Amino acid sequence: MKTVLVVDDFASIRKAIVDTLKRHGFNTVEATDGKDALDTLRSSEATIDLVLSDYNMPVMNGFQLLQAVKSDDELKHYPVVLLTSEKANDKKMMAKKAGLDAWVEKPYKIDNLINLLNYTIEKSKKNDSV
Amino acid sequence: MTQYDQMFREEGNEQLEIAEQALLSYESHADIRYIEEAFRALHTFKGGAHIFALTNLGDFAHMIESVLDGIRHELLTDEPRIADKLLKYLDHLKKLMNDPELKDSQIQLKNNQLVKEIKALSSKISDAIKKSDQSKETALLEAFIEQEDEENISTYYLTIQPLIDIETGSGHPVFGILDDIQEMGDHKMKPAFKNDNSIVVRWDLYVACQATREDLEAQFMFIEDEVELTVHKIANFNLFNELGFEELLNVLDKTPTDQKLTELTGYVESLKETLVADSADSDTTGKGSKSGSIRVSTSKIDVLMNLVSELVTDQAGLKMMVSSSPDPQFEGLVENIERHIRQLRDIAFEMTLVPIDRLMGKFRRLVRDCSISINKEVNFKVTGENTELDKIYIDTLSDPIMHILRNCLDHGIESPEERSKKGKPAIGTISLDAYYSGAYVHIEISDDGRGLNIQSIQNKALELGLINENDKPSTSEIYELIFQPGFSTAQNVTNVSGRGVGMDVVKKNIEDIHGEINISSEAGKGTKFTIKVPLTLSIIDALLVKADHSHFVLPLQIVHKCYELRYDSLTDDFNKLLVLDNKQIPFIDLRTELSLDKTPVPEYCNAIVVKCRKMELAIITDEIIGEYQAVLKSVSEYYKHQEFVSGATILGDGSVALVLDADKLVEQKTN
Repeated sequence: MKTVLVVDDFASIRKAIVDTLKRHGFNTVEATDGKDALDTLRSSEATIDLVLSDYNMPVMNGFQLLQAVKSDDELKHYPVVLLTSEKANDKKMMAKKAGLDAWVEKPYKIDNLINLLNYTIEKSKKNDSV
Repeated sequence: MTQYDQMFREEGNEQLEIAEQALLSYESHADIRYIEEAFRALHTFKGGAHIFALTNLGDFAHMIESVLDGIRHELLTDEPRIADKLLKYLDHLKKLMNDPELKDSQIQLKNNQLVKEIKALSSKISDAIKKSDQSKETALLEAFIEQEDEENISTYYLTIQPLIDIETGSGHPVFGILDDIQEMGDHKMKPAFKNDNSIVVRWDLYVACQATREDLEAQFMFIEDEVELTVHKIANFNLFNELGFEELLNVLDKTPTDQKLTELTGYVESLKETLVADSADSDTTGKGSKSGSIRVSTSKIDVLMNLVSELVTDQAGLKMMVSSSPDPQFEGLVENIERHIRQLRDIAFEMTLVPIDRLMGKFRRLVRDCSISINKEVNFKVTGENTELDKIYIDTLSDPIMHILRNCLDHGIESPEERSKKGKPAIGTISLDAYYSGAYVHIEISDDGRGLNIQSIQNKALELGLINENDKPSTSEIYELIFQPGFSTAQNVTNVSGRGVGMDVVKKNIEDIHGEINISSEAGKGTKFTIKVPLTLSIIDALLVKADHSHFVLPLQIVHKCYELRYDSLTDDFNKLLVLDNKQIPFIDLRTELSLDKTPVPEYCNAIVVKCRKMELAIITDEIIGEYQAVLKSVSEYYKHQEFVSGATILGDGSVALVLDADKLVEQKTN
């Protein structure tokens, strides 16, 4: 079973996402901001397959989290997906340059999100094995 | 997801609280950090609202966010009381939390109004961006320009060619992206498959949307090594609204790929030529209006109303004929015609009516703007905005009401300091109440200000020579003086209310449409202007009655109850009061009042109780003939000054019935 680390400071949104993912057969781990997510990634016994993070968060936002993950040799294999209501193309471009795997705009369609997560996880596994 | 709804509500409110606190801090200490804080809170809120499909909430939050963004970039520096406005928007957002679907029409109204207001702010910001030559702001600029011209739709032709094998149903992210793009607007998509199996070799996607080419390209950013994308902007309007476009697309399906673009540009060129040909309405071309209403000139409606009234009169004649020679078939036919004419009449009549609500936006704005410019805080309350009035009346009343509102604000409402001294709430109240009363619509505009100063009006009138030293005018006569040309007691002329030109024009405008205006006032407590205009123009539902040999018509709307009583029970004792249902009601007897005495008094008579201005009056008649559709005709000048007749109508047999002006009767009798 695939495990997704869901990062969002907004508990109701986080729960809603977690609920959706569970219904579609994912395991989930939760974090409330970028810092919390990094700690989880670094300490976690559980194998995490993908980080699904909000963009705007206190303490450490999604972009900072992305940078931290992708610049850390220990962590950079984790695929990161940003789930956000940001629309600016330049932010998207910067995130892509920082190594973002996919960008999902809120509101999202559940099926498309699930497909994208599956696809991104598969792809990163393939890359890892190469 | 309903279980999270409650949670979102709590968290959403928390975010709004954070934003509110930040804005309050900003108000007392203009530090951009507070704006950033509010921005973040709203952004989070917006995201949540979209997740839970609370579109209205999300969209509204988004608009506030863009204003905050403008402040953050110092593009809205000269806007007064901006924090105040933002707080108002937040309050509205909180209200929306309880009614996200805008079910309450009040909230919906408010929503529309605020959206307009915010859009005005946004356009100020985009103007500011255009003025500033900072190129680094281009991203921001795009965002605002996009918002400014919501209709700004372009049509794009996209080709997407997979570089890897992508199978339909494989869940590849490209399907999600294509989904998203198709959500953006009118679209048509055609996939082509490899050897008729499910592996896609190419998609042709036509879409009309507000997105820019860059936006579309950015959609594919994360799969750019898996598909090859081309984006062509083929028109800067929505081609899907154009004749023949979808047919062209069907043809294009069979056209070789390399010729598609040529075909498309050829089509757009041919369209542009026709656009130039009828450039008269070039503003609207290419956008296609889907409005459910049409414009009709008022003169046509007038003709229609006239024809309908003629029909009504003819129909009354027909009805009389049928009652004298009963023929069941004929009778049924006449009844049908009557029903149809009644419907036709109602519809024709409704066409001319518009709710007074239409003026409210203008009024609210006026009160708001004025109160800011003269530093007075005012709460503007409106009731009865759904009251309908003839369009012509609405147009005529707009200026007089604006003038009165300005007067209330400027002269009526005191400054906050003065109000506090008097022990009144610092925020003044101006209310506008519209309601039906009998065959009239009343519009009351009242303030809780200082009231009219009888002494200074009198002094001014003396000065102007409108009254003599020895005159002892009554209070209401003094108030009437305000409507004299050139009258103004204002010590200082401000730019808000006029320079003494005005109230006379107000009165004239209202009288032109057969309306009336009255003032009542109480020193220190406020002033009330009451405008009374007739509701109907030409045809009314009425009660046809008879007294002696004469017919009279009473508007049915004001008829409250009818009683039968012995004629000899009417006496002059008790000040002409009648006891009906244990209530004392003043009465007038049409026979005695109008000296009708050609026929002997009947043994029994009918008392028709009419209700007007919240008062009752019994009108004594010999006989009630029944309901009647009266086509109102104006009476000659001679009758104009009568106290009881507002018009006349022609009965089916050609005789004339006078229309009783119950409002005047009641006024006369109860004073």
